[in-house]
Amino acid sequence: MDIYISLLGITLVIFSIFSLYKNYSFIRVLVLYVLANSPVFFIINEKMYYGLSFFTTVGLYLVIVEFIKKTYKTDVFLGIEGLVLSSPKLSIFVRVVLLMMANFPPSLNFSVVFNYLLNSGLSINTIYILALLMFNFMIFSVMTNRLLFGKPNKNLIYKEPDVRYIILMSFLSLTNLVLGILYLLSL
Amino acid sequence: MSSVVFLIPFIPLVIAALILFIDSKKVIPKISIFFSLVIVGLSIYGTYQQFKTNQPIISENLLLSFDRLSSILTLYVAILGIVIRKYSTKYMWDEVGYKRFFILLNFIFSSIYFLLMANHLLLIVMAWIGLSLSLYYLISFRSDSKSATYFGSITLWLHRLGDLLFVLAMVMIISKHNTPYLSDLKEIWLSGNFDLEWSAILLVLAAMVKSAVIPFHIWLPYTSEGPTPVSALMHAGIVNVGGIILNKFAYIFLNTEYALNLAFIFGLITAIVGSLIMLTMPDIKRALGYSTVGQMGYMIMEVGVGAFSLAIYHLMVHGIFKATLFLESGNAVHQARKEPNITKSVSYKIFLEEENKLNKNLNLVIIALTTVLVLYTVIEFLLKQDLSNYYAALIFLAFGWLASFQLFSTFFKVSKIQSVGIILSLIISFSIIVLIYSFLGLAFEKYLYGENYKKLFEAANLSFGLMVVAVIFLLFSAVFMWFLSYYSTFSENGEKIKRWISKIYKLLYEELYYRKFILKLFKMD
Repeated sequence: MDIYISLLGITLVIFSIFSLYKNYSFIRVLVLYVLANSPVFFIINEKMYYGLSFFTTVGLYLVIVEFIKKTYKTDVFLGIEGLVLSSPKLSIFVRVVLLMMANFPPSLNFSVVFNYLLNSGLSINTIYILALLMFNFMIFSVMTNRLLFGKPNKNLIYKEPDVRYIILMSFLSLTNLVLGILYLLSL
Repeated sequence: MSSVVFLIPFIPLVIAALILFIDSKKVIPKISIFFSLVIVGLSIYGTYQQFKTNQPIISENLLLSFDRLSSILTLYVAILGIVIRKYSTKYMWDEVGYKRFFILLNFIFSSIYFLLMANHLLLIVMAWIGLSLSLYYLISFRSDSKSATYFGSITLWLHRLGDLLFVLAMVMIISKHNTPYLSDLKEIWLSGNFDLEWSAILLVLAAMVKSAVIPFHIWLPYTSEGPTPVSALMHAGIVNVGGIILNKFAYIFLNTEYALNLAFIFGLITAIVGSLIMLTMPDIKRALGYSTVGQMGYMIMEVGVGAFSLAIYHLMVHGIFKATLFLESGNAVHQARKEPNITKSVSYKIFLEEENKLNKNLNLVIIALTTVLVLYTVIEFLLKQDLSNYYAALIFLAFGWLASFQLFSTFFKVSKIQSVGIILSLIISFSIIVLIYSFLGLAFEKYLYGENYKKLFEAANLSFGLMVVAVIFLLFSAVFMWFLSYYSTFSENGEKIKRWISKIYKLLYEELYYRKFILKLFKMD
């Protein structure tokens, strides 16, 4: 059964890689991310941890997108570059969500997926997970360069998220990161 | 009590967390340096425990281990950390993102400490990936500079490739032995006879990416646009990680046939090509970048011949030397621009202003010193048994030549007139290498690997013929470089030779067109 799921996963990853090319819509990128990552849920043993990592990541992403939509009236990540210099607080959360999406440590996404990868042995699942890691990394690379880096747009008035957003974003980020660290310590 | 050393990798994270809530520019570096001093203290304590008990300190949950390798390197990294933080205090003062810089700096140090002390393979993978990520953020620190972020991206992509190779190697190791603990794996590798060829080859390739060995070198010379302290850290710390990880997994090579030969061949090519390209580079930071590429080639080559501990010694010495050069490079650039309001550095006074003040007495002292050193070298070769074991003599002969070659070429570029001085420096440098190897190199070998160091030399499976070919190749390269430098400077005649030389020079200047290829690949041309 795992073999078929992994084959499906590989197909979805290849499709997502091609679709990601020149795709600047926040929501479309999220759909591709969900599409490529969801088969992991069916092959991984620690479903609860993976589910938590997945939902905190998607949740944080949606909160950030909601803030950007509300503030800049746009649903694409073009023209709002340079967040690191213009909106340092928002940029921290964007960094965190991208790290979570790309399975970078110490997020729970890293701990669960890499622990599974290391202990699963060499199989078709390994190829799927490695391909998936590359796709997730592509999202990280594209969005970091388009959103976080670059010169701030002079025609835009940048705003920082208010306290409500910050509390919500912090909660989701910390849940993921703290669980990731606890998971590592419990090995 | 001895488990207090396991605080080391967590301390930089604590510093980063504290900095997050501090806005005063005066307080940030003070906190950072104070806690770094604590790390130095803990490292010294750990090293003392190593000498006292002669056993690695392993945490209760087996996640971390403080062994002999970590005892040497944590102290080295901690001291390097203090120097870089101190330098950054003033250097970064006017930069936008002072706080961000110190936070990132602490993340990268934490990753290095985790890599040094991790005993669980997942933790090693975490540190390995964390290092790539922190490096990317530091290189792209000036996030509004297009070239900085693009070269940062190239660096991250290459490192991601290295990450995947490394992860694959770890997957293969765990599936073979069913244990993720390095302490157990070391015992298994020392006792058994397994087929670990592919895991070891992947490990060597991953190390080559991190250590900027050709063909994965392009990220190093072009990432100097980041702040100077970052360049110093990169050249003194990050690139050495390849050598460190190969040492950490050294015993895997007892179960392989060709993996170390692969390291030797790529190391040799990198050492020569990196040094040659360095001589043609027009700007000081890129020249230093290629110098590091060449040195990393030496380091990987040392691993390739089985001299693992020598690689550790080399990476530390090179790290100190290169960090100093980078931290001084800004000064040199200012001097070259002849800005009147900047005070002259000590090195400038010694190497450039006082060059002509050398009197006859000093020359006599140098000649006497050279004679003593050369005599000592000959005696070492003839009498010491250790040096004839496992081609050790040949190994450091080769490295002597390599180091001298690079020194020779560098000196020639700096000072074209003082040929006698250069030849003397060459002989002295080689003698010093022998002297240092016979004391420190062998001491390192015994401290890190005990009697197992002999097994590592045997695992290198290096034939006498191959070593001779390597030495002849290196000699040829040295003579060729001298010829190139001499004719490009002094020859009035021989137009054909000059044209031929300029073609080679252009080829090297264009970095064998590899850079253009990469830029095209990443659509940056």
